[in-house]
Amino acid sequence: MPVARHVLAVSALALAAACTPVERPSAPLDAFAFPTGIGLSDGHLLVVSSNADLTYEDDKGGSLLSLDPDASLANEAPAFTGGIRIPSFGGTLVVADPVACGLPSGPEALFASRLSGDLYRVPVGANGSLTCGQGCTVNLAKPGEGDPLSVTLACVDGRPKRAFVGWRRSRVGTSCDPNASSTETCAIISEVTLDGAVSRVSTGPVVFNAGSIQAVQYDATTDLLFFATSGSHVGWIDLSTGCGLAPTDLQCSRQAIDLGQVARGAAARNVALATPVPGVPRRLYALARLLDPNAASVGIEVQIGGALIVLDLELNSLGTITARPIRTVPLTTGVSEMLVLPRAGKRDVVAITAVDDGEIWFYDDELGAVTGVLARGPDGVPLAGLGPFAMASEDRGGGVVRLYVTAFHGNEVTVLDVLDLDDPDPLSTPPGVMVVGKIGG
Amino acid sequence: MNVRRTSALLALAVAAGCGSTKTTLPVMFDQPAGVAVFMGVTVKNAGIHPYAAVANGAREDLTLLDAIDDKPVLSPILLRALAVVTHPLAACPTCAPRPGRLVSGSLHDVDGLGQSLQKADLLGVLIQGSPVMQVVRTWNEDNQMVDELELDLSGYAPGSDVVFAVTAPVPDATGAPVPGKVRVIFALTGRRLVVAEYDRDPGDGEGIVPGPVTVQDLDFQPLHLAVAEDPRLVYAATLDEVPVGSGRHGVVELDASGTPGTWTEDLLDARAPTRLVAALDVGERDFAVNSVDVKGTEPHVPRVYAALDTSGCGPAFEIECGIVTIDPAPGVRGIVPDPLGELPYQPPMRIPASPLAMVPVGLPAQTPDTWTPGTTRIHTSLGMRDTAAVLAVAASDGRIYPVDLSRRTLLNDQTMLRDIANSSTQTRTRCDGVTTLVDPDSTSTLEAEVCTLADPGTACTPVADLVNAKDEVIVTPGYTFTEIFSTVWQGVLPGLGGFGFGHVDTPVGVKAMTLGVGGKLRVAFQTPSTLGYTEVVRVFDPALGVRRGDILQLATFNGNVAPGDPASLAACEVDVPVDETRTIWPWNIDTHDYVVTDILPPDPVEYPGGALVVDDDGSPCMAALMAGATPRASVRAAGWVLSGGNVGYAGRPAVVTAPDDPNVRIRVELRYSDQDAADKDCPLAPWPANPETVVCDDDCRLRCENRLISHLTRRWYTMADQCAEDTGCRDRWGNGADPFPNKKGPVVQFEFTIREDDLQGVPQPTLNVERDLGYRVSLGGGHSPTAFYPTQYVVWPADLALFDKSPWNVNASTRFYVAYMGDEVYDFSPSEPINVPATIR
Repeated sequence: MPVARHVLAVSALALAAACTPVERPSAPLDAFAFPTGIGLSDGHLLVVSSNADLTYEDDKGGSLLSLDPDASLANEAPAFTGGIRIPSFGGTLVVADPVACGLPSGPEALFASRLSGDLYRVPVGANGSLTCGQGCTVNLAKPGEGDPLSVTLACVDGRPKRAFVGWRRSRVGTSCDPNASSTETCAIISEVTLDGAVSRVSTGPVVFNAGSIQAVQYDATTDLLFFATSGSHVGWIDLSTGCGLAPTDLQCSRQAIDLGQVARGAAARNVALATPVPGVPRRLYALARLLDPNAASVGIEVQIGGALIVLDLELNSLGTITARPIRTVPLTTGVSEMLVLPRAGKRDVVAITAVDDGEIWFYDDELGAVTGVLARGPDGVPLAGLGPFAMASEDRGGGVVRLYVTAFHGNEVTVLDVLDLDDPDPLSTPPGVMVVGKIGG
Repeated sequence: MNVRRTSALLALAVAAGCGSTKTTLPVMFDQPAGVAVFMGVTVKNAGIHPYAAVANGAREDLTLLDAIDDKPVLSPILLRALAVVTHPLAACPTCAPRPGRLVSGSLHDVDGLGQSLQKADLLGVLIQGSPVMQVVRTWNEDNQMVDELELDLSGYAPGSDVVFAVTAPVPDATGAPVPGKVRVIFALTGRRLVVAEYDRDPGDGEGIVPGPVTVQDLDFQPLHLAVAEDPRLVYAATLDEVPVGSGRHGVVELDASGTPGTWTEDLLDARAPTRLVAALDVGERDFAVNSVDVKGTEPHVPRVYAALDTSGCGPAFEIECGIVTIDPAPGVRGIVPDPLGELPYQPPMRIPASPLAMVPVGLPAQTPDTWTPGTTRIHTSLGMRDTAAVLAVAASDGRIYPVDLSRRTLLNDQTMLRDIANSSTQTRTRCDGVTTLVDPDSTSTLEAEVCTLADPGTACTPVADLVNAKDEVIVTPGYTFTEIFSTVWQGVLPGLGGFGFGHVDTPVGVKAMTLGVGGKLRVAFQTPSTLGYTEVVRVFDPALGVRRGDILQLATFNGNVAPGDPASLAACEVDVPVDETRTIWPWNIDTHDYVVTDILPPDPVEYPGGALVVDDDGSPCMAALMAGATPRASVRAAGWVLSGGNVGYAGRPAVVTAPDDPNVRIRVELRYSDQDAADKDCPLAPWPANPETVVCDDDCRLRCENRLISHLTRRWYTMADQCAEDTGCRDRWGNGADPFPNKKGPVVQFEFTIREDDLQGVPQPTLNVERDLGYRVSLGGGHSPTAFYPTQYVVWPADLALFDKSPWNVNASTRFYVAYMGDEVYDFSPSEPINVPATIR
């Protein structure tokens, strides 16, 4: 959801509160409220609710809920196995594997709260129970300093186990290079060590005058941390040299490219790495919303459509990476999240949610084209739910991939089975994708 | 209505009155995904009439526009545009069948006398993401989908998706269209085509009935299709090698003279994979004559146009990116020869952004009396240009580029040749300025002066000042591109480190690692990492320009050490006090120069980019380096080096001092040489998967450098400008009385001399030229491509459709409807000024 809408919501609420004080309840632990993050841990589905309209109180209006998805579908009612209340405006969720990330207490659900500026590290019990005790929160941003949102994990053998958190908004000059001018903005990423007794946090700017960070994505194969800014840039940081993000650390080398040079009006939204293919350059998927540049010049954001920009990353003779645009695929408005679905012997399929139009698009990178769209039914209701946003996947065997999709406006999780990755289209005969059911709502 | 559309309307309101385009009725498109022009019947007009159909990609309908007045066909309630609704699909009745690409085509009807008869066209609607095409009832006012004509290709090619589709006449044995028939050729995933025929309904003579459907298996994956004017030939763009393993790429010609399913394939070599294709018979200007005129009497010859795919074109590849002109005639079967006889092919027509769609058009049915017979027109900022054909190319920057097919070029909105009178700013190909590169701290008594053009090969006649010096730099239209070139004595090779101007005001060099082996020091440009090494500079790659004999400069810090930088090496400290006057980089840097005695190929374990070797000088510093260190390093040329701000290394200018000249004279010259020969001679380009096995001695490395420069100097533009009556122009380009300079020229060429101040004429055989002395020249290519585009929402032109409006309005000529993702359709003609087109919303 655009920050502007948050601001409006908060302002309206503040005005209302000033006139007629209203006690707002804490978040329910048996329902979703504007879910933004989703993940799977040992068969348990984890869902972060953001309380985006502040129906519930600020500090305890969000939630992290766990549930048994199969039982939920079978019973046609959510089978919750755990839940905690958290501050509002929780973000994307990742699940840390205890072995890979050196977590003796078991898997953790990690997400950030934009309201409190904390990174949450919530242990997930074998039965799906959730607890938030000592060390559960790691403060990244002071009040008003910024709002951490996107999270990615870097848990690789022989290397420090870390989480990286991108800040969706950062005040001009805050934590920027002290030499930066007062008009420069900086994109901030925090680095949090996971395997120590105490989380160590280092925070630093990664790129100037490129807006803030929309998404972060670590790639273990290259030890590169990729990010998408709220401007038109995607970039990457080379973490392989023992460097760090804090200004006092040995500085990491970093690069960024301007998607606006590839597709006019492109505003970066998300970034994902393709499954490596031996013998050919590594491939990067960059998701962008297409904005009208003329309207932007008068301060109006007019979203025209979306695009998936496919880039080949090639090491050049000078030891840096050349990002070569391979193709740009037109998409609809409101494109938000991406999930890479690997295929044996072929390039990936990429699932893309479009929150505005309520759609899920499937891009086939072998073919270089969209091969399926889960759109609306004849009644106008999106088959993927109202406002499909975050996704998690599960291999169900037999070539079936199950997708769990949060419906931001529908306060539910839509469950889809992709039956044929080569033709993930509900319009094919037989259908390549079908809605299995809904949880919540 | 969502936020996007509300904002869009708001922006439209803001923008109202700002643009030069006119806005017609609010049609309310929704993400147009396809557009097609067809002849048909609607409630808006009596009888057969031309319409443009627009697929609303975010809804489940089409909008129909009257192609004569650009107003929508209204629904029966007359309050909104008619919605031609797509039908739910049997495979998923609950899914929204959203229209994507549209196809339309005439059935080439004739009357009893064999005379052409205008009846309703076929209008097909491809449903996004499905293998289904629905057909609109164009032959009566119902205008809804015809269930009986819905074609589900999954019955013919299970598991396939439609990649592209195009209509074509059904040819007879002579290539003439069979009356009452049309075919749709579908390019499908899984390397196949499906050809579906449609016939005029023999019952009522007006409707359309389905004909046979046939599968054509292919040996390649088609991405885009075009049908020649002779419909017995169909062309397909593909990324694949054809045949497999041949290493050849291009456009596949399908001989469609036989029954579908028996079509044969043959490659037209485009030297790169292709993404879009078009075909047309074109009257081209006579390239053998030194004139850009198109007279309208030129014979029309078959041509195929292909947009090259960026995966296989560009500076490092055999060919630059752009649109190539292909001659399918026997004996050529590839890109047309270079009219100048210089390159092995005519250079591609360079489009400033990625082509998304392209449609060719020849002559309109009717032309105004004032037009040259046999021509159409392209409007540019320099006036109208006559031509026989135009290729409209929709690009990712939102613009539509009208390529002049008669001249095989993208026209220019500014002159490349002529001076603009009474202006200090010129648009032509030019040198904008020459600046000296002199260290302000230098105490050298040397002077550098640019020589006049009047005395090549002889003693230099210095140009009086730098303002005039820019006129002594030779540039060539079509070759010279916008760039800043530097020519420097012992300059740092591009990307290989370097000291800021003034020596030490900026961080230095590239991270390097040293190690002594066999009494010699090996230096690799790399950084240890969790993956072995990162930031690996391939010093073995000749494209970087390192040669034996060059200068390796190792830098260590003394005094304070830069934060976190391990480059301090006590043994290498020299007794230089910290320079307190330097505030930006307060650490003193000790530099140590060595001569590169060898360039080692990569060692996958120790130095994956190769290593430079220097001899042991016996110093304590060398001993420390031999033990293993991580200094910063730079590589400087042993002599003069030329580099561009964008293109990087560009070779080594030659010293051309005449035997009796006491001064040193240098010639900078970037000139094309045979790229095919150069391509064959370099085993390191492209960079191989196993470079450690490649042997490349000094001669080999020079050949590789030649390849690099050969690619760098390829002509990039085919001239379409001329000097007219500007005699200064003719003198400038050396074309005498000829109005059209058609010469092969350098990208840049000039000469300068170095001499001892106040000692001109006194022999100075050992001039001690100071490092980094030289010149910088700023060049302008002079190309501002002609383009058409709306004033608002210039984002993502998804599709183009051609309409010849001249039978209804002779001045309207041939035009294009462009479906923009931003809920608008742009109607323009290349022959109209840019403020005439209409934006329909």
